[in-house]
Amino acid sequence: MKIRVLLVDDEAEFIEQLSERLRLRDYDVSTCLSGEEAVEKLKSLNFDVVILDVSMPGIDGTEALRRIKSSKPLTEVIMLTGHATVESAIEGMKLGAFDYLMKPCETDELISKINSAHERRAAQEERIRAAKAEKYFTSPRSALKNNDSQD
Amino acid sequence: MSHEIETPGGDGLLASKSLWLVVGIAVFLLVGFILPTPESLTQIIEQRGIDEKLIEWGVAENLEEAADKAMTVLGIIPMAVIFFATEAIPIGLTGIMMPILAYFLHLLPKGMIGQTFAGDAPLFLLGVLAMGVAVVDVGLHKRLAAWILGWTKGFYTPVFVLCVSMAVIGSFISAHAMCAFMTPVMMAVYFGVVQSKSPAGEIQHDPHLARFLLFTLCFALNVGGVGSPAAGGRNVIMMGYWQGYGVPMDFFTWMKYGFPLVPILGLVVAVYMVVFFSRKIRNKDLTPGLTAIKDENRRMGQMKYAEYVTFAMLIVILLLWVFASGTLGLGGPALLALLIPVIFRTTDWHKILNGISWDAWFMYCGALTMGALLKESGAALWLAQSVMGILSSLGMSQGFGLWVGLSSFSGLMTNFMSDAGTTALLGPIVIPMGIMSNVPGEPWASGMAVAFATSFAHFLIVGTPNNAIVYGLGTYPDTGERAIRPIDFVKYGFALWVICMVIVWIIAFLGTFSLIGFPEGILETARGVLQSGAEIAEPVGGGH
Repeated sequence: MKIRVLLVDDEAEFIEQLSERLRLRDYDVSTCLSGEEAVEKLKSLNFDVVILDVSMPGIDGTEALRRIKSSKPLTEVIMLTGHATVESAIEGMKLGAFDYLMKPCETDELISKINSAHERRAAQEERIRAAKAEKYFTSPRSALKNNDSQD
Repeated sequence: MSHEIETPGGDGLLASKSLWLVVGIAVFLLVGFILPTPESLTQIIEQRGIDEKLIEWGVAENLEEAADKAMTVLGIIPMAVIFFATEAIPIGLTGIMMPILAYFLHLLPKGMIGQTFAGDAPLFLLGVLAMGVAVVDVGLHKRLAAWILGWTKGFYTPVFVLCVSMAVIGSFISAHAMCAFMTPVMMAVYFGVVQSKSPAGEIQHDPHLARFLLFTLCFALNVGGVGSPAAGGRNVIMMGYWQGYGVPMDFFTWMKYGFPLVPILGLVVAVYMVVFFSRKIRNKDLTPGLTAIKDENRRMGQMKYAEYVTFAMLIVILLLWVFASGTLGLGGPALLALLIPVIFRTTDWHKILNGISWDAWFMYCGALTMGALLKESGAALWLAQSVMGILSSLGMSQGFGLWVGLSSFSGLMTNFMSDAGTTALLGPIVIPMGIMSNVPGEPWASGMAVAFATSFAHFLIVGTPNNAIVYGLGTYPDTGERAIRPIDFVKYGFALWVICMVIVWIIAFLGTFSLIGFPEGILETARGVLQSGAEIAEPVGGGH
């Protein structure tokens, strides 16, 4: 299955180029031009990795990260930052971001970080699936509970 | 979004575990200690000399007390039904309650109670559970699935290959582990298909395809349960009950009756799903999605040392079960599954210990204790006579009619309660029923009628863990919403349940039971145990 990536940046031209580069390498890419739009999109759709610009009008990258992690904790986030906003990227990693990338980013480096982030998410999902299967094995009825979360 | 999710609005009354715990205990006290003992129960205990046996064992002092003990044992049954059905307490705890009650209420001599936890059947089950841990730990189940499905293309080939292969695999290794692995793979296949057919940047879902793939997987794994004793603990329990009547069945003999059904049932699942549930599917070419399996295969790379060792271990254990269970029993070879992975350093000892479902083990061993309680107290005999009276009036008191009646009841009960609980509760009652029917081949035939039917828990989620796994883990990758609604189990599974039952009646009861026949003397041996109500007779050959 293709890795699902959401690119979030207010610079339309930049994310257009980036998404094109990723699509050529067989990633399933969607884009958003603001943090609000990304948070809204993530309410109904799952992505494996979100590439999130730190500095955006409206809610900034750090706030968007906080909301994303609150609604979809398994989604891995990579912060995009310039030299002036490295501190925010560090803050983001303290809040659960997987890593950060300096703009303008090299495609190979971007892909390497996306793949690593996806591996971490896949491993975590596998562990959750195993735990759920164990629960269903001992109690099939537990699958009917409303609080049996669907991620 | 073209699909909607309907989450159940809680499970209502069943959710109140404390309530059901109290109800279960109250029913136990009512039946076991308050209701008057039926005259017919006292008569059976006296006529069969069960009172003398219990007095000799020091369990009762007179006939009246022996009958009271039988009533106490009868009180355990509705309590266990309530606990299994509502999961008021963990199933393992329901199991362990049986020896606890036997000790504290002095229902059996203390030397006999622990025996049900240490016979061939409990050790066999322990080994089977350890085998599942070893297979999952090294990822051998993934390798098998990738080999089997990786080459397929189109729609019909993968569906038929999936059904037959999963049914066969489900006969020998943990169907639940395979189901847990294959459910996300099925959803990846699904997503690959819909992604390739959707316009760029948008996913047009095909919920009929998602449900088709998940139910095909689930049903195919369910029907594999009839194939061998290793398919599930419920089969092991039944073998334990036969052993209690001095007529143990060996591994290969079970396979002779059950395994021929497996590929047939697998094919039937495929045909049923294609005929009834493929018409509304929009995307009938699974090829783009099957790359998910090829990707999995590529990721796994070459077969590794741990996989070779585990695969060799499976083959060795299987061969020993088939050819040497006469001397080694079933437990002996099964226990190699605890030894070999540690000696050959493929799975860590503590990982095996932590991976074994002790909940299941305690539940099954407790079921064997309950079987012994019912048998030795005379309660099983009284229940069997009462039910036989009803079946006689329906003309179903022996042979085919009895097997149809027993399998129908067991098949229904397994959907509402659970496959393991059904065998645990019905086994001790149907074996004396089979013996009382006086048909050669009993009590094996009646036991198999019940055990086979417990593999068809197709139409309610709670019937088997496979159902819960496809329901709980079968989520759309892009939205996380569940692909199956609880009501879909009835829609997709009920007709298949009827079809599976009819196939077992025709192919097993009218076909293989007659063609293969049964060893001479098993009815007489089991009847001897039933009538003496005491000593376990010498085992007779299981014949292969």
